[in-house]
Amino acid sequence: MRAQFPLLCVPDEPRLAYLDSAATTLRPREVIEAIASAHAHELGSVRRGAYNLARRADDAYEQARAAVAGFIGARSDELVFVRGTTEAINLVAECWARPRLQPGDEVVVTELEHHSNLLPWQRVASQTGAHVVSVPLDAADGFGLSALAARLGPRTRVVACAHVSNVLGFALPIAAIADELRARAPQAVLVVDGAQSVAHMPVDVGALGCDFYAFSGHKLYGPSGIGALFGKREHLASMPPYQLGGGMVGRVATEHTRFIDAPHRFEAGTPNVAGALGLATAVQWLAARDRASIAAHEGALIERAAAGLHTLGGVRMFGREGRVARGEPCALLSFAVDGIHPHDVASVLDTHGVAVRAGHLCAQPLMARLGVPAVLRVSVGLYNDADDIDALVVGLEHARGLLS
Amino acid sequence: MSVHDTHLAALYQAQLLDHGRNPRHAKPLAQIDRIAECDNPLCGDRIALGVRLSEGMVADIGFDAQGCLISVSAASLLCCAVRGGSALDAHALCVRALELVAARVEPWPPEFGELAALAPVARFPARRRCASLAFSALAAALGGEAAAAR
Repeated sequence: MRAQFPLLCVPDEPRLAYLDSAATTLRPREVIEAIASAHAHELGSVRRGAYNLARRADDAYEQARAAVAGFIGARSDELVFVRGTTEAINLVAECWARPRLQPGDEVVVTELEHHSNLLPWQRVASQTGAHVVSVPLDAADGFGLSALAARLGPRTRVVACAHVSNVLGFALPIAAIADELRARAPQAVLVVDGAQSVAHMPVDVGALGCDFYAFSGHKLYGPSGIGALFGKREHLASMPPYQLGGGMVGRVATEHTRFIDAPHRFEAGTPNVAGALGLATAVQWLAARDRASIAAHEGALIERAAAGLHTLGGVRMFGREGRVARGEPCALLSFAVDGIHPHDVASVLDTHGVAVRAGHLCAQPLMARLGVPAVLRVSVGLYNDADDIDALVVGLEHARGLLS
Repeated sequence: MSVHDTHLAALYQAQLLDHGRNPRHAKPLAQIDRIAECDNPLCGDRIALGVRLSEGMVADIGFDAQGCLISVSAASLLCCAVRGGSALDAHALCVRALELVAARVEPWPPEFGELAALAPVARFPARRRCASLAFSALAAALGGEAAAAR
């Protein structure tokens, strides 16, 4: 598997234990070649050209849309290409929420959100007089559905939550949350941040019952600069455009302009065609694999890491106990080493060729709740193996010896 | 020792470890004339640094920092270096130190004294922001003095 990833096969370089896939995944050769081929062969101006090259690019781009939509169980006309999860959520905040929110309305988020699924709601709330309500975790390792349900009511317009926490690693019960919305706040939409889920579990937006679902290509073995937003057809149809420009207008006159239908209405300007083709290649590459055994493999690696940390001693792990009790596999583990700051640990690990994330993981409210300024996070992808985890533990032993 | 061990040993040498674990001037001041707070946007290091001035001199200095060994030791070493000296000189020192960190210069010139213990951060470019935080905070705190002098 490592051989499929050029970054893991650089000659004359020490072995890289890349354990930061939650930040960005490595790209397999097939995806890299698809992007290079796109630049070499498919470069035509989508929806604009009257010549064959442009027609081919347009077809390829729309086929990519169909492939990415199918990957999450959506239809093509419900799939907007964007730069990534961050842009997708900003689009929903700007184009669905802002025109609708009234003073006193509520946007419900959770305590574990990534800043990209918090800040856009803070802004739209301050613009409209609405309020952001944060649902706390019920413990350091669990999410209480009843706590969220209790906060739903007639003033709720948006519930925004992660599918999988980028810090704690567990999945929120999206389908159950959607049921609660239908029962208690049918006027609200459910916006799901799928950045950490799509690479590690099959996603079917119909089964989940969400209104919007966002994810990034670069966390899905695809390129950066591309991502996707699923939005239910009736929502996208009702939303004004996000950015204005070429390629999304029906008729332009000085006083008034009519825009074309979704999803193209939300794709102003020339899109990231190569990125879309790369993302489509990535989802097809991943879908062709045995995803259940990949999930089991990733979960086993995280368990190996947890066991190694437990044996090391003096390590605090986050978000683990409830998930293990519920028997849920997980592709990441956040932890802190007693008495040593995560950055200092990470520098030592770096010298061992072990790449992990250290910091607040763009989740400062959650850090405050956990009572730490920063953590270390090990996160795996399908290219990782036991040697990577063992290198992590050896590096941590070294860090402890040097710095404690 | 591997080359990596050499770099780690150069950075985490005794003086830096000492200032990181037992920081000097890590206290709030009773009277503060200038204060600046800096956060490292990437990672969770933060510092609040307060200065008491007297006739253009740094009469006292104190900080509250939450962060890694590098950022805390940098703050401690900086406070030791500037306390009792000219505020203008302190500002100039910070500006120069930020340049040295950004340019990955190693070693630092002798005028930096014990602050030169930070120079090996050049070998760990991911830690430059950690080393820079205290200098950025003090430069911001004393920016008014520097501007008035021009």
